[in-house]
This record gives sequence, C-alpha cells and structure tokens, in this order.
Amino acid sequence: MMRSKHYTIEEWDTKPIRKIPSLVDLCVQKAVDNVRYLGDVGETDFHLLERFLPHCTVEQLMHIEDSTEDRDLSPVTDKLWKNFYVLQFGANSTNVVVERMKEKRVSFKWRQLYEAKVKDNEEAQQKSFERIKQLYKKENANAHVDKDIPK
Amino acid sequence: MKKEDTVKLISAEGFEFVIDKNAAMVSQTIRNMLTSPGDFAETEHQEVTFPEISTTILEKICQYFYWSLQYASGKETEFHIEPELTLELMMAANYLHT
Repeated sequence: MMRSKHYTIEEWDTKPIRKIPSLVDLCVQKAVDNVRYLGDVGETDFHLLERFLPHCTVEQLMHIEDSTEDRDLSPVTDKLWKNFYVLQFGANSTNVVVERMKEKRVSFKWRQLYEAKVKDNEEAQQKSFERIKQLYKKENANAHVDKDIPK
Repeated sequence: MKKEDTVKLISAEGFEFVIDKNAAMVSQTIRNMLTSPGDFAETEHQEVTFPEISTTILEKICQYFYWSLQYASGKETEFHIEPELTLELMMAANYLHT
C-alpha cells in the first residue's frame, strides 16, 4: 500500500529548509559513485581521500594505490587494508598477526600482510593439490600393479 | 549589471570570469579575500587570481556559484559534474571552502 504524508500548513512552516549541498560534498558523492573508474588520485588531500576510498573493493583500492605512483597513500589506506584482512581471513587470524608483530617488535603495512596471506593460502592450496595428485598417482600405479600380477 | 556589483576571477591560464559579486560570495575564501580590511589588491580591484585553478575548473566553479543561488531560492535541480573533473574540482572546492 502506498502511503503519502500530508503536511498541514503549520508543518510546512516548521519543515527544515534543505541545506544547499557544498561543492566538496557533491564531488565526494560523484567520486563514490565512480570509484571503479578512479586511478591516479594525484594530490588529493588525505581528508578528502578518507571520504571516498572506503568505498573501494580490494581490486579498486589496489589499482588506485598502484596508479598513484608518486605518493604513499597508506596513512589513509592502511586501516582499509586491515578491514579487508579481517573480512577475508577473520578476526582471529588478524589478532594472531597483531600479536606476532608485537612480540617481534616489527610492523608491516596491512596491504603487505594481506598480499602475503593471499600468497600463503595459494601456496598451501597448491601443495594440497600436489599431495592429492601424488596420492592418485600412487593409487593408479598400485591398480596397474594389481592388474599385472598374474593370477 | 553595475561594475561594482561584479568581481573578476582569473584562472591559472589568465582567463577572466566576470560574475556577480553575490555569486562569488558563495565561496567563504573569496568572501574573505574581497572583504578583508587593508590595502589588498583583491579588495581594491575586486578581482582574484587563482594560479592553481585551471580555466575548465574555474568555469565549473562559477557555474556552481549560480546553481547554489538558484538552489537557495527553491529551484532544486541537480548539479552535473563530469566524472573526469571530479578530483580536481574537489580539491579546488576544498580550497575555496565551497
């Protein structure tokens, strides 16, 4: 059912006047809508980047950082990468990393940690594939041996 | 339009935009420049040069000033921003407190 609100004259009078959107706000909105087309962000101030970079996916953020060659965007992006890490690998895994860095008194950027973890996982997956492959091979070989043995 | 009711905004390339003073006053930065006490060239000649703002961007900013006045008077249209101008315009708008 459609519902429409009827204002009385008094209500209209007290209805707040819509604020004029600032040009900065309009541009930020546009950047959020078009985040997938962004590349080099040039000299854009950090406090402005803070307003639209959080709308990026992993691939988009990676692309923007790689395209913005002359600048280190990590003051804004580090916490975004940490979010990605939590989302992808879970809070437990994230805490383990934090603890380990504390223990060893080292610190890495979350993008590095994220990429290292992705690589680790890929390698682990590759290894388990290999292991399964070997098992199959062995099975097959045994099967052949069985066949070849004359009864 | 009387001359004293207008201001001149000059882009990095030297292009001059003559616009209503009340439109330019939408920008807090320009307002301060034009009304600051003392013998500033900006106050005296009612013109401001922006060595860091390109003609394309300054034109867009002037359009915004007029759009904003219209909006305030109740004509709530959409302000179009070309995607490729977004970041440069954002920086200029930030500088102009607009």
